Amino acid sequence: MSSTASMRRSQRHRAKSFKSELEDGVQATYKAIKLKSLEKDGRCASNRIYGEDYEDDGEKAVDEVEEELTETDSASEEQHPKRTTKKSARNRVEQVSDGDTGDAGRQEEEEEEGEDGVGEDGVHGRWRHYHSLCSRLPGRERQIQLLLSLLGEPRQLTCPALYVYGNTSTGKTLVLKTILSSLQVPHAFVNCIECYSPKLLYGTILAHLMGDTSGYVRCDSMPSFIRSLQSFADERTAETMYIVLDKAERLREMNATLLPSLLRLSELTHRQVCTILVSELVWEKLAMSAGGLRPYPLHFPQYTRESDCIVLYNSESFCSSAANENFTETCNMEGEVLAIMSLDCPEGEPLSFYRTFVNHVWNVFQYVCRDLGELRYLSSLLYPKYCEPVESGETSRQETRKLWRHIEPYFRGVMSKIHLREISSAQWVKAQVQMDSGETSTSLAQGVPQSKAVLELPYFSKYLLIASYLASYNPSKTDKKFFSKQKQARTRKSKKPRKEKPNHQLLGPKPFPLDRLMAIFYSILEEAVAPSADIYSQISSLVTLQLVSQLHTKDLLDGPKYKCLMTLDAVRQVASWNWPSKSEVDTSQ
Amino acid sequence: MTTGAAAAETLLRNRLFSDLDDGGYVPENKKEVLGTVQQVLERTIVESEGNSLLIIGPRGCGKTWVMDSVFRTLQGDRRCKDNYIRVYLNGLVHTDDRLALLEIARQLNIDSDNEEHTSMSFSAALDYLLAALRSGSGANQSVIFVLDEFDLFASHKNQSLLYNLLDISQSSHNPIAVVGLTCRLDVVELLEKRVKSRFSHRQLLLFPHSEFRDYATLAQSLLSLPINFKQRQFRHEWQKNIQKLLQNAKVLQALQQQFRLSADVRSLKTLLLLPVSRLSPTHPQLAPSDFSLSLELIHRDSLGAVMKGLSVLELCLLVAVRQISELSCGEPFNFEMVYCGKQWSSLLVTPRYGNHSILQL
Repeated sequence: MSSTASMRRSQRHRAKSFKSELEDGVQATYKAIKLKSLEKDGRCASNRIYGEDYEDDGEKAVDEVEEELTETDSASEEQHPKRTTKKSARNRVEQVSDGDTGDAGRQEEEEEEGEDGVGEDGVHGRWRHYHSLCSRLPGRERQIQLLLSLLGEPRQLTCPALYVYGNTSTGKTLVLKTILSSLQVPHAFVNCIECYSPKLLYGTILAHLMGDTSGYVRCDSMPSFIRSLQSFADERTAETMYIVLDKAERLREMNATLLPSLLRLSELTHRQVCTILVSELVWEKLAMSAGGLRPYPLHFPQYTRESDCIVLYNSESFCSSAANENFTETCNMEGEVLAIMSLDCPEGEPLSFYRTFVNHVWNVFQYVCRDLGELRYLSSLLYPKYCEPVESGETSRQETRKLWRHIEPYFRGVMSKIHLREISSAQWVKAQVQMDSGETSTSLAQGVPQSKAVLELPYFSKYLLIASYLASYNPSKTDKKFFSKQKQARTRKSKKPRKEKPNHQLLGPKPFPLDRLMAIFYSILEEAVAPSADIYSQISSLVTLQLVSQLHTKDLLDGPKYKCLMTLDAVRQVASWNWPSKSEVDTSQ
Repeated sequence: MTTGAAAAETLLRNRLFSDLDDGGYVPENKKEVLGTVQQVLERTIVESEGNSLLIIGPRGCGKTWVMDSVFRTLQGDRRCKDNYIRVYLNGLVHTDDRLALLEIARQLNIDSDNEEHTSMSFSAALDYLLAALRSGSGANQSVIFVLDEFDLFASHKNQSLLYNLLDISQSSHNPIAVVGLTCRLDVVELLEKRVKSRFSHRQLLLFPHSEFRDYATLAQSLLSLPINFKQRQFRHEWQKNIQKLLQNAKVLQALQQQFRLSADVRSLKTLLLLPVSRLSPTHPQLAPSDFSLSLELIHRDSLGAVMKGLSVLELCLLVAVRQISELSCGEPFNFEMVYCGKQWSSLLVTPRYGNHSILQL
């Protein structure tokens, strides 16, 4: 006993010294692999491609805006039925001139704010942002084109409702957020899981529209929401208001009239509102509760690996030829997935080396998981492991076969743990270090630590737990056969052919009454124990621990009924643990 | 510096998304309905008689458009111009009679505090509102109530709003008109007996286009630029292009497909959205490929598209689930049965990458 205690103490000491070193290293790596690195690299890319071309556009935009203002005022009555406030337009002109004299280190796109100002390539209006958006969001060019077309200029009327759908991690939320923030229009980005009731939804939308992303405006009902939208539109802006509702499938469970009225907000408020629903489900799942109005569907396909699947759709209408070539070059060298994952490359590491690693990850894991978020998580976990032999000097960066052989068992181990997140990444790293330093605990296997499920129960509780499992999963007809202490006379086998019964393991636990539990308990317990309040109270403590659940049926005349919630593996673990004597634990039919 | 294309785009977007401007073409069946509604409302305003009517039609076929154009005509009519007040209620928004009453009070521009209303019964409150309206101006102002999603009002408690409105329209000295817009053909069955008896049973049915000719003419009128469009040269080319487009096989095919699936105006406008929004200085005229692309985007098989993005493992799970559901003939099954079943294990692939199997879980 003392040796194990001293072993544990020394383990702890060594872990502490490793811990401090590790934490610095790990934090450095994780900082580099932040999700925002996407944006950073995107900015550098766009600066490289466009250089200083856009610096002069600020002044040009100002002149053109002023010209246009004088023209559109006369034409406004017939072309813009909604009121266009001259004041807001004037403010915009002032902002542009301020932006020009402001810091030149900022993004060039952010300085240009003229309405319909004509840029360098002759593209105007919202299309000015197209190039920067495409460079920041690789692989989504076609969707960005479609979105920019459909949304229209901020002062034009737009589609009242859009429905954006696609698999997980295909960039739906990211693209919408980026587009709306670069267009700089009033928009609200709301998650329907967070705002689970209509009042919360109205309040959050109004707060976001007013620019306060963490606030809440009190709004009690749909008519007052509509009125607030109308007053907001009249006071602040003549531009379209965009309301993006993420996880839109949750709207089905709220009020039955909520989804239809949100889709018709433009009609109900008589102002320019565009509702964009984002979801992973297809529209047919929401159509029943949507009351007839079908939003315009927009599909975000899964990222592809092969470069020939990228179609720069009808590009000659929107991009200038120079930028186009640069773009197609970067995207054709590698697939979309690799382009995005290689943006995660930590600083200081050679890009080609990281790319081969990412290639390995993709080749191994693509059959199991195409979710880009998950793949990026895996590569951030495994990259330090991959680099280990290089850092320790055993192999050089070019010896890919050796590196592959080193990393292969880790891949295999992680394969069964995708999506599960049984332990956090920090714990995983610590466990790796412990393993390397030679002290392995029993729960580590195949290089990947298992989750630790420790179950400490008193003696009788363990027997009760096993008895409850047996009662749940064995049909009561077989009780006599297994648990009776007397010798059973051999019954004649019935000649009728038996029906194929489904395996009881798969159907889930069945409820059992208390008496049956006690009967089985006494039969598996070797010693004779009197039934006392002690034992019964242990049953209720098992219920509290949620290892056994009590059924709350209306009919309690027959006594309480229970159900066992443990799995076979857990019960086997309990049964095999430090037993003084192994009784017959018969767990299969 | 608005170019012709940008101006055209703005104009056409207005056409597609607001009901204010529709290019001027009104098909025959709508003309009748328009005429009837206009007559009824004129009688209410000019001759101070109470009226009620229902406009029934499927989604997107133009019920709200009918009301808007009738009101536009009434604005132009000298006799009616200032003699009416319009109150617009929507069943989706005003889900309760109390909310509806507050909204009526607000739209009638009556400043009153809430306490008075909550203490009175509904009918008394409504009478009070209408009396207040009458005393405010000298002449009898008629009120036109437009109830959108009429069938949802029938699900309120006691249908008290409907009862009171129809009661006033039948009986009294307050000339009101109640126009209900709904998409349910059996809406009259939803009304209670006392409400039904006060309803005038005037129902106008609006159906979508039954002939492709009408549909195509409507498309052409939606896409044509008006005569007073500024850039004349551009307009000339544009009109020629539209004429050519509507003879083009691809465009006609796209229109036919959309017509067969749903012949109402809203779906036509949805089809036209993408071609219009892709106008730009480098792409100043509509092209036939725009139309076929638009059709393809709208009617894409969404489930198939989502399934293409699944990983091989997820697809195997789907296949196993399908096989088990066929075997169990409709009886419920759970994940455990799929996971441990023969079908699933037979789908696991043979070893790759040397010794270990990738899908071994």
